[in-house]
Amino acid sequence: MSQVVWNAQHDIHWHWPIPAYIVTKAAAGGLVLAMVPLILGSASASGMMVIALALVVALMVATNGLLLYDLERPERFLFLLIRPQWRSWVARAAWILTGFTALSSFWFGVELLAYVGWVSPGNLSLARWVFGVPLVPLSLATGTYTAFLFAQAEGRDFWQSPVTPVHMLMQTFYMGALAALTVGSLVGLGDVTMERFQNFGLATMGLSLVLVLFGEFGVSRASELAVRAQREIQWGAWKHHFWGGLAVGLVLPMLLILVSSYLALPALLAAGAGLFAYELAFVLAPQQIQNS
Amino acid sequence: MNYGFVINTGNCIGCHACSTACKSENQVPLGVQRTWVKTTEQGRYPDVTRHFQVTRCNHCANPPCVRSCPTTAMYQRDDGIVEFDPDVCIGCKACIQACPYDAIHIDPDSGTASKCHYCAHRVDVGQEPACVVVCPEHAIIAGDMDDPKSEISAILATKHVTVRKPEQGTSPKLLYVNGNELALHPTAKAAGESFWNSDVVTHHHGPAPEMGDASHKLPGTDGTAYHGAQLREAQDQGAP
Repeated sequence: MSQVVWNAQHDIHWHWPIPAYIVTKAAAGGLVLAMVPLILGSASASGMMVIALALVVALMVATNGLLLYDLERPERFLFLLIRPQWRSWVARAAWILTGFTALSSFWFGVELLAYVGWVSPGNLSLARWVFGVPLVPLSLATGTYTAFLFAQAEGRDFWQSPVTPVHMLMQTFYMGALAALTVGSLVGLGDVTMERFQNFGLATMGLSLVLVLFGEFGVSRASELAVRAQREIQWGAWKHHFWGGLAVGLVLPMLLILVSSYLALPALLAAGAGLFAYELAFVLAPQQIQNS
Repeated sequence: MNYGFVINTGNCIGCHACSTACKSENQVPLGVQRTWVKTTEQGRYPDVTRHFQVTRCNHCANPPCVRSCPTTAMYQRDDGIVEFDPDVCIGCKACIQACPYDAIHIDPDSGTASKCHYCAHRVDVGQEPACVVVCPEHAIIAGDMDDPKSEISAILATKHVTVRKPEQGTSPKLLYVNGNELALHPTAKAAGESFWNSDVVTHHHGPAPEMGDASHKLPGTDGTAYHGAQLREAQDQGAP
């Protein structure tokens, strides 16, 4: 027999705000990625852009709020910007999120002013290039940087998966497609564009499902600690979050938008809830395994 | 200079004097530890062996906590000590997730990251860490591993030593003589719902209490820490 009879007890430090902000920033980044190709080169004011960017700004307010809430010393958050240590993905993330939030907020302001007639079509077209083009890489970074942040957390072997960056990219794509479908159904976007969003959402959700299953069952883990976390997720304490997350977050939204692209709002809500459940398991299960 | 620890687990009697000396010296709050004595048992009555392992920050040569800290609150001094600065820590807890040894915690009083810092304030004035001084069996040896005349170098030259999780590539500088595999490895099962001499405590959550006059001084980012120690640059993951 062998047993541990005394050891220091360790807290779990990253809780629900982490998976919650993964959901909100994926939807925000993905929605910008969906809107930019539609609008570049256009000079006419659009209610769709006002609604879409308002949603993006709201999602980023939630994202930044969740991150601040998760800090033990939130009053010091400016240290991230004024004295960053650039090898840290937390510092890089602060700059990525700040850039994305600032540009999308300014763009929202310009679109709103153009909608009420205070910005000329020429200036609006220019503004869309100025804000839209840099927001493409920023959106991709916003959606995927957390994978690299997790990889830098070397104390959690389970998070060292090569599949995670691609999976987070797919999450960004399908959350964006569902958000774009939701906005499109509100403003009566044309059928051709709606069908494109629908197909893109279906494809990326399908790919995401394959990636999750491949990542969980096809990639061998490097250590006993990682395998323990994996088993807890698949068949242990987190199995309902994992399997329920896949069912509600990927299968159900696919079925809903297959029925009609105008069921985008329930599909978006289901995808967000399912993604949150899956990420909650992904974030918490490895922290429950002792490192000492 | 390259400071490190050797723990001779064969000498350790599990008296916890190191743990309490650390608590006293560094004003460590209740509920958290900078150093502790992990205790394991192996065998079947009457042939049972109990192992004590002094456990703490490994002062890694390549510390992941330093690399992941976004504000240089966790940093590596030029003499190899991995030190922290509570005045610039934002409490993001990235260092805790980066540490493969569970050596870092959040100080419930300040809401900032905290861990063994090799009693750097004592070392800077020529004294040994408090745990070394108080240990009745001389089971903890601290010193400069680059100095061939130091006691720690003599031990390293003659004794077989082991470290925790060598596969992590962090190059730990907390080395165990007579290290026990069960104690070194983190996945051995606990004896029951609670430990032999303590209950499982309720984990603290939520924001830290107000600190009163929290003077947020900003130490330079030009390679020096707040008390003037030279900093080493963070290295790539897996680099020796």
